Amino acid sequence: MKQDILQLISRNYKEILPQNEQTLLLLVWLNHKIERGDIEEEFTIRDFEEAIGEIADFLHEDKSIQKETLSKKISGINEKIQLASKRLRNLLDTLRHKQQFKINLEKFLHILLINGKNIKGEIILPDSFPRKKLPAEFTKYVSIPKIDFQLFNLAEPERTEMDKEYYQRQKDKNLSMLKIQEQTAKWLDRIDAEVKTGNEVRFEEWLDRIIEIENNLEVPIQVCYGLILRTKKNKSQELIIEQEKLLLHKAI
Amino acid sequence: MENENTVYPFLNSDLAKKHFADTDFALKQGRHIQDFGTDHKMFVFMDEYYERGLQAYYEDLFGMKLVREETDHDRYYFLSFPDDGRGKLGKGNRSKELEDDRLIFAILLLNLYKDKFFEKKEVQWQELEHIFKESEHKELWLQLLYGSQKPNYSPGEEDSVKTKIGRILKSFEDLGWIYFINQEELHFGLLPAIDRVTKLYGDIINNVENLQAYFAHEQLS
Repeated sequence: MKQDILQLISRNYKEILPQNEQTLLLLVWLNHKIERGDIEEEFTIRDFEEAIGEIADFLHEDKSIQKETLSKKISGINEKIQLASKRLRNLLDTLRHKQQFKINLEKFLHILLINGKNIKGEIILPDSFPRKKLPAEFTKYVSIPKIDFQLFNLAEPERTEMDKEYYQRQKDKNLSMLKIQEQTAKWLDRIDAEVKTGNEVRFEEWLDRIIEIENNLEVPIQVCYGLILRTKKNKSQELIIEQEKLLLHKAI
Repeated sequence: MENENTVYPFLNSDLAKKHFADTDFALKQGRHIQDFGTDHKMFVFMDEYYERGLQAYYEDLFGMKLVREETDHDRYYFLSFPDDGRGKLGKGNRSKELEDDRLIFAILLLNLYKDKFFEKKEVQWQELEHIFKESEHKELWLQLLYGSQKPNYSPGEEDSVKTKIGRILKSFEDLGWIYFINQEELHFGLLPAIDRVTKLYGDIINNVENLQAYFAHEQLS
């Protein structure tokens, strides 16, 4: 389209424009006189001859020779103008059509913008809007995996090598902790039974017995802690913690 | 040669052996093939054999029209549904509607293509942003893209809109309507085949007044 217009304009200019200065000047002069209102747009032969005379005077050339030559050239130009006008009319029609299409296109976009809605981030037009389809055949070829059952492995996790020494150490440690918990529970039950008979329990005495039997300091500490918790929960029991002052004697 | 095909002579050619499969896949996926970039070889093959069996092949065996169009002296090819039916590609999942967001952007890009009559047909993200935020219809654009009109949008909102538009442009690249110059920055060129939208929606564009009246009536009722 762009190329068409450029070619047409250049071709028509070439055809319309006179190839010598006298004729070009005459056309310009006639146009000037029309615009100034000195002569009508459809000027007479007399107006034309006068204009030729004026141009000849201006160029200091022989009027009789000029008149004949210019008449022939003007007539040739007229034919070319007729042809070029026809072409330009066709081009104008095409441009008008294009222009109208562009206007319609802008209106169409405006209609789409007015009627489009953003619903949860999706741009949606009314259901009644005519929609067009395009081919969209995306062929998918499913590749079936080929399994070699001779190389088939069971999906079991690989077992790590066991450190027997570490395993035994951890086992002993856990059993020892379990034993402490069991013994703590037993001692707590025994003390609890004593408390329920209404007797005063002096933990100091129990502490010595537990250490002697269990031969482990962890058990009496856990029992003590358990007793504090139990007493706190049970409001009928009272916990008294005696504090003793330790005197340090300076060596003299 | 005993195996020579006389109905579809293109099948006998060396070019067909090299490019027919790619061309066929591309056309059936909705691509518009023109003399540009990696499509060049397919274009040359189609140009050579369009009237030597290729057009007839799609019409006889698929009931589809292989169309040769021209805009601004640039030719392009695409598969189109026949006027009186849907052809073999109209069945099942072999076709899809141009989604609403894609249609709006296709019309926008077609407008830009026509505007850039004497210019380089390139578009940068800044130009699109200017349309969305500064143009005559900025309120409509902002409402449509962001879901609300505000003086400023958060970086998250901006990113989300840009990503969405990036996806739309990618689908246009797949259709052969644009090519990316810098995909990350959404800098792209418009290809002559964007003019297909004119053919696709020509009936509506030429009678846009009717559409306007139709929607006005629908809103009233």
